[in-house]
Amino acid sequence: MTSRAKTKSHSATEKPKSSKTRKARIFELLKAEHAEALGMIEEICENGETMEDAERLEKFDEFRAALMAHSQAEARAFYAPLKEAASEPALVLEADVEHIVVQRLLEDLSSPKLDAERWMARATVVMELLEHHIEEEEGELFDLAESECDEETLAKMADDFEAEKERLTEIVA
Amino acid sequence: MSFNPLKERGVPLERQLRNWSELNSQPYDKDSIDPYSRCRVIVMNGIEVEAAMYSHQFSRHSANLELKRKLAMVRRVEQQQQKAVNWLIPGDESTLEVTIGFEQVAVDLTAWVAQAEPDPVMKRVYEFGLLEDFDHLYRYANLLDMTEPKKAAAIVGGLTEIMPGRPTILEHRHPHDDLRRPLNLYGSDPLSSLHALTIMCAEQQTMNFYMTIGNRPIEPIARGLYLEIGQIEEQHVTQYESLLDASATWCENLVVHEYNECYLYYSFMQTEVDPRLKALWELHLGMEIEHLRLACELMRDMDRRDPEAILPPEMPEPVTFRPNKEYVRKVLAEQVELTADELEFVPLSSLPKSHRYHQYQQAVHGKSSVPSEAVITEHEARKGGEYRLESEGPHPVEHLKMENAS
Ligand SMILES: [Fe+2]
Ligand SMILES: [Fe+2]
Ligand SMILES: [Fe+2]
Ligand SMILES: [Fe+2]
Ligand SMILES: [Fe+2]
Ligand SMILES: [Fe+2]
Repeated sequence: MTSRAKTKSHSATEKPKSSKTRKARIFELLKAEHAEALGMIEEICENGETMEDAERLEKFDEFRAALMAHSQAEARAFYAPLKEAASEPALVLEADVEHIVVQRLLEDLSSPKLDAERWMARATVVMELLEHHIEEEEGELFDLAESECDEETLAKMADDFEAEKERLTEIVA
Repeated sequence: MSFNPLKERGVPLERQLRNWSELNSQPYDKDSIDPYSRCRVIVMNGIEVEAAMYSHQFSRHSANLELKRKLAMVRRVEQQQQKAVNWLIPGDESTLEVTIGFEQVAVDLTAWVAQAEPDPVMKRVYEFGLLEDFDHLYRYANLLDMTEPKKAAAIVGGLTEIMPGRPTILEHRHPHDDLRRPLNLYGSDPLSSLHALTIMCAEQQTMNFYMTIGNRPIEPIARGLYLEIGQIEEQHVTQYESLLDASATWCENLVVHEYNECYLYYSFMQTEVDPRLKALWELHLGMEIEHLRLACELMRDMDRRDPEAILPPEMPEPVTFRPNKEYVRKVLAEQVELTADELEFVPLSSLPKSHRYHQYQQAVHGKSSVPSEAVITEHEARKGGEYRLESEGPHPVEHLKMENAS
């Protein structure tokens, strides 16, 4: 059941990959969660300064749990098979590192010791990193998946992502 | 010479069971054994204990009878392996002599792992722990010299120095400050998972050993020292297990366990100097290759996921026992003053008076005598100095230099 590349089964009538059709369900799933996570951290960065500590931390915890479940499910269901399929996994490895960097900042943000100003500074960096990461992921990484994975692989990614997301949501909550 | 256990043929499971006399290994000779061969025996025992206990936990968390049967079968073999390995330790080696072996493992195995670790954040964690076990070796060596009496130099064979590390009395921290940042099973270098699991197993068996045999001595100072250091080993297990990826599935963890067993038997087979032990490592490697294959099959069936994604493409460089004297001295000089605050390592002097560290210290030390300190003062009183083995010159840290030698 390994998903080694059966690449580019495009028929002549299919559009070239640059048109970014993004038909597969996995892209929809990931994009929806990206938008949701970005929305949550944007709200924290915009209004965090005027929030009570408890409220800010509660919002952050919600965001942290959602993002951790997302990125770990994504690493398993999307990145791992993509590394298998892609002839050049450099882009995926770069995305792995971004996950790790964000995760480390999230750990900092869970510390009760950070004062509000330093906390907000880290939250802002998380938001910026996330914007960058999502832009690359929805661009280059989705391109890579579209060009190097067959339909069956992409479909399996979506099912797998949903199942993992459900399992991980319980663990990281 | 690349070796990939996923591509090798192992011993079929039905041929892995051995009879009592095959398992009742001829113990090594405690006076002529290579100290690092003793270390390898101690490590592999800890690895096999974890193999059995992990499999039990897996089974307790599953209602699938077919799965339980598979686990029980492999586990019976893991238990036989544990016996074959642990029964190499001779009856005439005292528990305190074996204890010196445990702490030599903790020093030289952790030093290897720290230097081979690809992730710098993890590397700092190993260096932090290293200095604590290094101090335990010194405290137990003083106990040994005082009670048996015997020089620990004869056990470590001059391969590991014996002198103070981060003083044990200062190692007692609030439990919340023993947790560290975890690695990612998907995303981190697979070698990081193997390292964390290996050190976790070694520390866990040290904890098990002290919590079990620590009440065997008659002398109150010995009983006290075992219980105090036993509590630090609990901290070490807390620290090292927190490095592992807690989001891994039971099957993923099983695969990593079995791969790690392959990796360590393979490593020790490459580096073993005792031909009889080498043959045992090779035999067990053959068995582990089959365990790994079965674990991968389970992961593909149950998780519908490819095990190769979480394993190294080929065996990493063999885990090697060798002297690390200069390295340990360097870490001592740079990091002996550190303690932990949340996920970070910071100088002890930077903690405010109100920090929970001080409350914890107060709770465990109170006004009583602290065994890890008492063992040194008692040694001094009885023998006119403390016991050390400083082969590379005076201690690298000014305030830990020896005042009066025995
Ligand atoms: Fe994503
Ligand atoms: Fe991502
Ligand atoms: Fe085993
Ligand atoms: Fe220790
Ligand atoms: Fe330890
Ligand atoms: Fe095994």
